[in-house]
Amino acid sequence: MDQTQTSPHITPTTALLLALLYSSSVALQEHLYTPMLLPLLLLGWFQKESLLSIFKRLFFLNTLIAIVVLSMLWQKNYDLALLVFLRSNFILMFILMLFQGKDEFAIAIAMHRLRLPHKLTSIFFFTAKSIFLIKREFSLFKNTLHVRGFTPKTNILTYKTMAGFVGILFIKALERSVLLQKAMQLRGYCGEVYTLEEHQAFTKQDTLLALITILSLLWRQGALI
Amino acid sequence: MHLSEGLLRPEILIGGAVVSAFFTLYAFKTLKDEDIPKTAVLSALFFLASFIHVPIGPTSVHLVLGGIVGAMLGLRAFIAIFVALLLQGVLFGFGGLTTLGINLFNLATPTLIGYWLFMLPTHKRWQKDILWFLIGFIPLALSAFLLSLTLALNGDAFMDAAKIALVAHLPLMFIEGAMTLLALRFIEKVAPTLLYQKEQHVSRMAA
Repeated sequence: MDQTQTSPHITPTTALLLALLYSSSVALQEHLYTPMLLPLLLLGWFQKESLLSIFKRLFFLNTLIAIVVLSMLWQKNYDLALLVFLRSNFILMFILMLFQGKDEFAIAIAMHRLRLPHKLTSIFFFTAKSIFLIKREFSLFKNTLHVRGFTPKTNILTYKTMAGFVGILFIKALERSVLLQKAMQLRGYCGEVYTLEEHQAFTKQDTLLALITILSLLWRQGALI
Repeated sequence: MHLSEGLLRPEILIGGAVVSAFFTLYAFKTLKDEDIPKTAVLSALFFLASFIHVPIGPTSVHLVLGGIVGAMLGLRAFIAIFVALLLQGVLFGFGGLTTLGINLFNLATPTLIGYWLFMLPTHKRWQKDILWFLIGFIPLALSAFLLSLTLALNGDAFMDAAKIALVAHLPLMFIEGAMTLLALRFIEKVAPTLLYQKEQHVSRMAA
């Protein structure tokens, strides 16, 4: 459940803060500079073993970006097309590499560490737990259909089967919410979820990436566009 | 359905963030402790809906389930969708942090119509079926319209992409409507109390 240990380089708290800093800075730029690539190169080095899967995911995430960029190229708006393409991909690559190997629980812990309101962090924890449980039911359902030789097609049987699955998920989710509420009452929930702080010790890589990211956003030389 | 990072102008990003922050903060302010579990599990369902692929011809589309989540949560859907979008943004790269506000506005605002439709009293089977179809159809159609409008407002260069995005969502609207109708029928058959709770709420409100 806690995949922070499989990705020891960057703690989720730092990842969340740096993602916010880098994406909000780059997204608002009208010009991009070469130093903005530095955090991507550093993260690429940290995540060198997962680069192939990251690039595969990046390729699929480019669908809407490709539509937008192609429509701009069609209108001969080359500079804007290049700016949008680079800006989107810089941010996407940064986020994908930053959160590679992290899961919903890591984000919930980061929210808690950032001392955000207790209601918000509680929802993140309960959502993470529910995702974990529903994912398990999801794969069980898929296996059951596979064993029964079900092949999804464009027909009413498939739609009824899928709708039944959605219905089951909702029923189980709502029933689980009632159980969760009772469990919260029994455990004396007083608006806060507690975590083990040792998961969150900052690393040297945190500091290095934070410095490089801040430097890359301040260093305005070598315009790419 | 999600607008990617780096596409939009600052005015749209900031405007979307401000409006969504207002609704989300209001929803948080009125959120009671006992509502947290239901909001969280439905947030998880919204998050995982993108994994449920429904075949349509040679390709497939994924469900959104915004209408049904809105029907169950009302204004609290803003919180559920906020959490789900943030997780999708950082873990999968769907949407993102700077587009979180505008994506939340585009996806969560129409779900309030899902809630309103769900709360309408129905007496006949066909009325119920039409309403349940619309709970899936209308929020998604509105979300697609808002997404296209966002792209169109972003500048003339984005106009073609806005049109393509709207047309691309047309089949998904019908799929979402049909799946919502069939799923709610299933819930009515298997666990009717989950839906009758809403009807009791309507009766209480009317009284």
